[in-house]
Amino acid sequence: MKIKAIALNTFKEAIRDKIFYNLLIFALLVIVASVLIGDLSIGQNEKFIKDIGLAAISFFGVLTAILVGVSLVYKEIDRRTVYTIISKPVHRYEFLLSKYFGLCLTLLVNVAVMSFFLFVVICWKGYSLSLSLPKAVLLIFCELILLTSIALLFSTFSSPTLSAIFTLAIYIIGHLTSDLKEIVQDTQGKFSHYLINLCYYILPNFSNFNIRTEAVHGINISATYILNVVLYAVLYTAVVLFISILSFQKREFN
Amino acid sequence: MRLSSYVQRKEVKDKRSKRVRGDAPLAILHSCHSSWFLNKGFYKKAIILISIVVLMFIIYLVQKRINSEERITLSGSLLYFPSGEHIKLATLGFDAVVADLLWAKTVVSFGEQFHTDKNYKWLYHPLDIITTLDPYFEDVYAYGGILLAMEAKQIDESIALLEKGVENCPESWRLHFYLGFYYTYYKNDNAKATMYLKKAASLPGHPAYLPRLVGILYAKLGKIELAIKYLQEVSKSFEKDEKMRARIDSQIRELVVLKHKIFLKTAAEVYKKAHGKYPSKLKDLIIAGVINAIPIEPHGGQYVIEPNTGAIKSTVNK
Repeated sequence: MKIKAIALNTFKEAIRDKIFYNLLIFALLVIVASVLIGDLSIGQNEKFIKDIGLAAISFFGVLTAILVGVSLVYKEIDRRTVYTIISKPVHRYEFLLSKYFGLCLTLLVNVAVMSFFLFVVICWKGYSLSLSLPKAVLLIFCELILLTSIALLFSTFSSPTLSAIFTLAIYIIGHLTSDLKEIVQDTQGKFSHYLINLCYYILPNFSNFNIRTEAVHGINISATYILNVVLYAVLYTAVVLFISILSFQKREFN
Repeated sequence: MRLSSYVQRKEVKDKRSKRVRGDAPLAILHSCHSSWFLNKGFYKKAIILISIVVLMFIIYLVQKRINSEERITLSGSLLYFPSGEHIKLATLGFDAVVADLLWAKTVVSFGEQFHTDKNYKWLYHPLDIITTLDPYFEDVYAYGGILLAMEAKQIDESIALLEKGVENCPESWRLHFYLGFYYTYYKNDNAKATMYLKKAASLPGHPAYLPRLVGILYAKLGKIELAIKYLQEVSKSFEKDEKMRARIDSQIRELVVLKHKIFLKTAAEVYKKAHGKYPSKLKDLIIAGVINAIPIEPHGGQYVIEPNTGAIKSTVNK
């Protein structure tokens, strides 16, 4: 109950911060793409709209997750509003989790509205709407909840600017490790091989969540893959949230 | 104490708001009355505005200068792009969008070159990158293959691109068809062409004429028996399409005639070797023991031989 109240408050705060203005940019982008780019793409307008739409959902989501996520806790401490909450019978972990869920709710609404708009444009243009598109959106959302938890973790002990840089770095590394692993595959037994493999399994693997290319081409992605990736996101998020709580418990407010 | 200060503050506030609200028209009148162009604020604004306009104009001039400098052209810069594998590292999962943008850029560059010096040395590289970033981008293989082969005359590159295409899009009849076509048209490699065209004819969505084309190619290869067998198979799959089936069957009959003609011609040559001349009638071949029977003409006609040249003809078929 307490978690719900704070989470909803976080959601309202995000609305007051005009987070949802990005929806407007998104709408504009998709419409412009659907109307103007058609001439350049030689009959691949459908692919262009879907590609740009999915990429924009992911891009705006990542921006929101990082930029809002890193200031979630910091803002409360900076404005000293955290005292009014911590002094109430609210555990610190409850506070942290509710902040997290509040932002997840914001992201959910954000992603849902954008996907809905994209699907409407696709249908309006008379293109096929395969089941793999919602699957891709689902995995984008999974990516975002994991990224948000990482942003939250950094924000429990660092300033927003540094947290944003750290989170972005993790995001970039998380996208690179699978490619790097492929590159060092031939160098069995070398130090770099072990290092990359270590990074690959310890750091979050964001390339798991990227099925956008397949989705746009209507290639079927197995349900087991989706389930496994969702499970991966949930487990990894749980671990990161757990570490965040530990870090936040130790934090002193002065 | 506190209360009094509060009251004081409120009074000041009220005064302020009154001045703004109540005296507003007066203020305007006042500003109009006293020469407004001497107003300090106005000058400030004007100077800022003019500076911005002037700066924008200078920026415009600088950009003009930049444009006039020698520059690596768009298509040239595409040539020096790193390989697709390396670009993939930098796209952070946004591969498909980067592929789209690169495709648009390639199309524009191609258009530029098409209207100027038609230098297409660079063309294969971006196509290779795009298809590495988005391996399922079927149109890039298809159109890229056409541009490379027909416009840039880079047949090997075109075939390489299409072979990458059929590997990544094994369900596309179009790519198989193009690849088969280029093999027969440019490379004269009918064996490979037949292989790809046969695959194309087995994939969903292929046009109805494709199986007949494969039959023709088989015949060209001299594999008439194979062509007949293949077309008989195809004919079975057109059970519902009477028109198409009739066409294929007619093609089979023609191939059968061709097969018979070759058979009889060979026999006539054997006869000539033994007797010094071609037989006057085909029945002579049976009498001489070269063949057991004259094949039945599938159109219902008969085969005849030209005694002077040894050419075999059908009374129905020309």
